[in-house]
Amino acid sequence: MNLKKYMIYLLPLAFVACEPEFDDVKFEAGAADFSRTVAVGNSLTAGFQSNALSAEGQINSLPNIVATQLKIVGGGEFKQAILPGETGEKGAGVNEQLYDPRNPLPDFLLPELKLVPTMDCLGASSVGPGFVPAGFNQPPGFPVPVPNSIYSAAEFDMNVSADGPFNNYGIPGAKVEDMNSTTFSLTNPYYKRMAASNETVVQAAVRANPTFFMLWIGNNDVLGYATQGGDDGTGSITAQGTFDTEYKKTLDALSMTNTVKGVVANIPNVTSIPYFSTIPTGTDAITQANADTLMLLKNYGGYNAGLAQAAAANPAFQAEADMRKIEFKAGQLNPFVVVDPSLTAIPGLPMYRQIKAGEYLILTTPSDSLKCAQWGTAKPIPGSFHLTTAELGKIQTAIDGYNATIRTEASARGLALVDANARLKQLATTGININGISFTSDFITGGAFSLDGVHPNTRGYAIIANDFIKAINSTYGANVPQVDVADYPTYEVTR
Amino acid sequence: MKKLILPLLGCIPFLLHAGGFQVNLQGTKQTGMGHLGTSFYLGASSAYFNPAMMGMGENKINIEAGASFINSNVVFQNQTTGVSEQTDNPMGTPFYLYGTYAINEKVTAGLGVYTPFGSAVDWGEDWTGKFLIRDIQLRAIFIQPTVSYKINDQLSIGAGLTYVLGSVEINRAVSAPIGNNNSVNLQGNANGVGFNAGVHYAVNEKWSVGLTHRSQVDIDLDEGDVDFTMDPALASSFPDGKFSASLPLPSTTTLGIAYQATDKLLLSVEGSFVGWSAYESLDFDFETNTDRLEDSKNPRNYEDAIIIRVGGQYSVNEELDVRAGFYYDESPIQDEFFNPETPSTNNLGFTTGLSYNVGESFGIDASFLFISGQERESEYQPAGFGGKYKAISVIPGIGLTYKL
Repeated sequence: MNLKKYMIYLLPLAFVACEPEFDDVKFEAGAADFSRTVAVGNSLTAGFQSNALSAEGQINSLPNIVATQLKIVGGGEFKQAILPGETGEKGAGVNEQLYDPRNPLPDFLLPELKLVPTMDCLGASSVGPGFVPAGFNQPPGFPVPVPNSIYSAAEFDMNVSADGPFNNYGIPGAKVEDMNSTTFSLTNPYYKRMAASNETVVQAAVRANPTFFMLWIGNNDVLGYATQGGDDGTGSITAQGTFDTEYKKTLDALSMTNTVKGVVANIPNVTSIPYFSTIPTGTDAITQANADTLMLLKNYGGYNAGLAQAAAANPAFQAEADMRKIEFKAGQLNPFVVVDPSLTAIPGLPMYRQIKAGEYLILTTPSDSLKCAQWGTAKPIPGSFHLTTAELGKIQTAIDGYNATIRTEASARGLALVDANARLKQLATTGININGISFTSDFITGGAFSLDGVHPNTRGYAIIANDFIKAINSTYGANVPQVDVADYPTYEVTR
Repeated sequence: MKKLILPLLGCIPFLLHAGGFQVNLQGTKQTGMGHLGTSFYLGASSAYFNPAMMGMGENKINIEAGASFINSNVVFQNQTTGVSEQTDNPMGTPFYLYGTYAINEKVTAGLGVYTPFGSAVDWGEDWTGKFLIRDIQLRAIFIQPTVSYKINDQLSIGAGLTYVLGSVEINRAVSAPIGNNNSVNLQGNANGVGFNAGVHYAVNEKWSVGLTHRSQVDIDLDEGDVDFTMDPALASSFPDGKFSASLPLPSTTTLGIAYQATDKLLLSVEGSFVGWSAYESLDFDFETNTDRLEDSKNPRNYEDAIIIRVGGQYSVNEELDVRAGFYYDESPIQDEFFNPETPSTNNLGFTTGLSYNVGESFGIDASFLFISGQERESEYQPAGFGGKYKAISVIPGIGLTYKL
């Protein structure tokens, strides 16, 4: 057998490598210095989600996600004023007047919403937002504040400014003018906790001597108006002039007159969020008998006749009369009837009309009332739950104006700009696929928003954090690693 | 037959190492010289390589059998997060068995059992692409009764029918807004039919030409089992049950030319055209659909691909033949549709091998194939998952030849 000697032909094979490898990706800070990064803003910067600010939410806050990545390229510690309590389960949130603006209860705390089993008025079981423990659930519909016995307000009220300055000055509820207000620490419980005497938010941030800053402010300047149903609520839109002045003042201070680099984000259109897009604005579950009953017994027929009469007397009223005419028919989508106080007052006629295409009902509209108590059909829905075309126009105008200012200022000062508006619009229209996960702006099922329908959830914040990182990278020639959005958990049902 | 083969299917994972999920290891002799064999005779394995040549052996009965041992790894790197991940693939063992019997001067009958498609990719439970794929095992055994006919001394033709037994198992995580441990297992057996035909023409003492066409085989899986593991809140929306799916195993057309340079040295070159464009989409049609579980449509949009091979064989003496070869195997996958389930790169294959003849009728064949999967940066856009990929495979093979 000569076989052995021929084996020499196979010898070179022993030197062949079997393991493919990549060199590590080189990450670097580029022209920026992240050694002392400070974030300034509102609830979106604080880590607010599911109706509360909790320690867990703070740890998963947008700036903390970004800062954790910045550490890889030389970023320093990112100190946050972490709330007492392990998670938001005990209710670390404070009433932000998000859910019941007409009944402000500053001494009450809002617990974090959890995903819990629910049953609607028709007996259909599902999962939805609710309080844990279940005793604090407040059926029907959406949460209202619960007594602070569930959580020690004293602990929350304890001032922690001695631990400052902090790196995260995201203050839930803050508007742009609050950034430079010496009285903000008296009115905002979150800032009250962090503030030293009557220091402004911007002063506190500057005291941290930042080498880099993140600023996302202006959302609440229009959000409060929108979430409270527009003109019918107590929220207002910050005037463009005020916004411009305060925004520039804030940037001047944070950038040490344009010597410190930073990143800013613009304002998403509020209508991209599930708070406005979730509740149906009409019903197709109406039989002809139902429709006839509504027109006769609820006297919409008489209302229509009254409108026609008024239009006959005053031809200028004809267009509004047509718009206000109420009609229910089987076999079609019937828009709900709402009360619209902006309509012309006609003696003897209520301010009713049906919801127009492109208008919204807000997430706090009681679903069970729509399903089982004839809201929107026999009972017109109060205007505070309804965003009209006119109100949406005001919101759009304000956001366009704010965003123009933000773009101009960012560009003039050489700051990185995150187009959060485009990102949320993409979420609301086409959706986004990331590593095999589909995200949309759908409430709960969309995977990106928290259970309050306004704030992102942890994965949503991670998506935006990557947008911040991308903006930083492209503006400052840096290569900061992004995060894997799927590394962050999604909801589990609390049973 | 079916009863015998099916248990075999369960224990033979084939590892992806060629374009798409094609596995080109159908003869140890041929593998040693770049997997060439369309235009010159190397034994019973011509039932696969070119059925026209089955009658070209000197003996009445020819038998060949063998297997390869695929050690293959793919590495992935996400350039934006810096994460690098690597497959932990089980060793694949494609095999072949051929027998030919010369009925008379002109007609030879043969049977081939071989495994030209398959894949075994395991990225692990918790890698970043887990919502696309955790692991996949795709197996296909071809059984091919064949006949060849010698028209004259120069021209031969041959053809066979292929009956294909296939099986597939896929595991992946399911992305849902509720629950962090949702997953699905899909598995089933399937079969299909096709054919393999060839023509061979000896131009003169030195030159010969071969042309083959192996047809596309559509593997239809009608009664697959789908098994969801979902959060209780979603369980009713993701019912277990049956699914159907279809997977095309593409056609391959090969033209080869051989040149007997000297008494001892044979050189050959081949070009193959693989009809991968048939693989447009991998669709799972679930028997029970719900508001959250629609049929799953996954675009693949493969493109036709070519393989170019060159190689040679040198007869050292009566006992020993040595071989070497090289091939370039183009990936059929577009950069926008590169799914880690089939991480097929453009491959460079470097091969060597030898045959040692023990007496008149018995021989041992060995081959070694090293595949360098060229680095590529690709994305599976429908899922928003991408990065850099590169692969290496090391594949020793062993075969036995018996002539009577």
